[in-house]
Amino acid sequence: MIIVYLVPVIFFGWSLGANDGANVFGPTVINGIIKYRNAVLISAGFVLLGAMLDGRKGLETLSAVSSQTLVSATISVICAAVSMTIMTYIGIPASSSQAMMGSIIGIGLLKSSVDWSVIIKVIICWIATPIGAIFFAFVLYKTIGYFFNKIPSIVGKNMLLKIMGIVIGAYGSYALGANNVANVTGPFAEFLDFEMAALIGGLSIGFGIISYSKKVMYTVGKSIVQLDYFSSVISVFALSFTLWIFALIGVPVSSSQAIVGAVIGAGLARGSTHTINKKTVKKISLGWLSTPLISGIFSALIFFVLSLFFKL
Amino acid sequence: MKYFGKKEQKVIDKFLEHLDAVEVTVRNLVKFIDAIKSKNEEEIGRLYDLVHENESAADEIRRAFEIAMYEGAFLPNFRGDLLGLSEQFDKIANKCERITEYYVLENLTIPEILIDDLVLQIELSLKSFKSAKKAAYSLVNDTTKVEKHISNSCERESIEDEIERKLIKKVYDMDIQLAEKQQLGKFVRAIGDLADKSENCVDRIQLALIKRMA
Repeated sequence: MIIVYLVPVIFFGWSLGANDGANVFGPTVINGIIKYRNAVLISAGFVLLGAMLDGRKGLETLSAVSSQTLVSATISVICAAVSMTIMTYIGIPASSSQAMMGSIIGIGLLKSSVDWSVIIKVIICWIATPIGAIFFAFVLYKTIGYFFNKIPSIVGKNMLLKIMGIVIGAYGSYALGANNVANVTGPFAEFLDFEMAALIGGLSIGFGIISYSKKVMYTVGKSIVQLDYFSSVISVFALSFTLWIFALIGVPVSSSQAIVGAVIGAGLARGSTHTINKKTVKKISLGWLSTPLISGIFSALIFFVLSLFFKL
Repeated sequence: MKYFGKKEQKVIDKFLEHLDAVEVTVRNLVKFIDAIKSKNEEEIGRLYDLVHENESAADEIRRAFEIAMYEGAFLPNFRGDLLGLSEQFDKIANKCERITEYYVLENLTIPEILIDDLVLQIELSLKSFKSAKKAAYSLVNDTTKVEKHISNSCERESIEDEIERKLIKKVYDMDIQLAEKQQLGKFVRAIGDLADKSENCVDRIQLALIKRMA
């Protein structure tokens, strides 16, 4: 029976993989360092590894926000997925982490079962995501850049960037799996054991990366490689590190907001301030507010209507 | 790096081989001007053919370099830099060929009064090229030395510019037909162009270097 409830979960994981997998391997694929097919295979493998090895804390956090039934968990996932689709359609950048959290809180509020201490921790982490990514990108750029500049040969620099592109892509995939698996199977954590939740989440994200990430990977990859290649590698490194740190803390965060912060941080380290603009800040702030709000209202509404007819 | 960058090393080898071929062309042009000075018609004819052959050989190496480049060596943006640089160096070989053609095909007569300055001008152009070549070599092997060679090349180009201006003035002060003045002026400017093109090369090298600094 639980398999039926898991169908939207797999769909949500698939869509998350198709969208967010692009951030970590985009620049490497665009630059022809690795073939798309090999990149997605490595990425899917490391996403699964990350989910299995470091995804536990995030799953615990999401399951601690509010108690769930199988039906409410399914509604949460469906509403998060639909909210994401609507917001992407109207052009507001949406985060799967924020959409999922909004959905869970929406239903949790109706059931009066929200643990506000967890919510506060999550909100602090969301705000800290782009700020942390700026900081990590700045520090990584300065530190690695110092040693990078010491390499006297262009061939050596070129080889190092190629190797870094692949290694960081794999690490980024690991961090994505560790951080975002909770978004996929978090609401079901009470009904599945951890290994099964991580496996289903990791596999569905991986499947999304393998089957449908090409278009997004090329679009996102191109916008990241507008930077010089060193900056783009550092940006992906900072994104991966940020995701991984929050995976260890146990809070799923937005990889899209982290990459924006990372690009700003690399730009600042290079002495450029034009990567920061009001529009970017407005977009991130709008994402923080609107994504959880819309999915929360949506899930609460669906749950309320269904509860009038069924015992949920 | 030999084991991890075979494709890259092959490209670099071809790139440097092309620079060597361009240098041979410039050196033979210097000999060509020397032959004009010594009025050795036979040597002028031989060097005219040789410069032409050298230029064709440089072209062939450049084509091999381009093919090696598109076998997937280097990151795309560096491919563009290296291709642009090689193209810029190739223009120097092309110019050498043009200069010999101006002299031979247009039956140019160089007045005695100009010849020593022309020899000096071509030697400075060669020096400017050699510094640009060293800068290119350093760009791919030891970036710490690039700045020094760039500065040398620019310095020599600047001295060559002075000589070029003096020569042009000398040409237009001479009591000869306007057509002859224009013909000689074109010849002097063409030799000066060699140093200018070397300067264009070092400008590109500088840019490629800046782009590769974190």
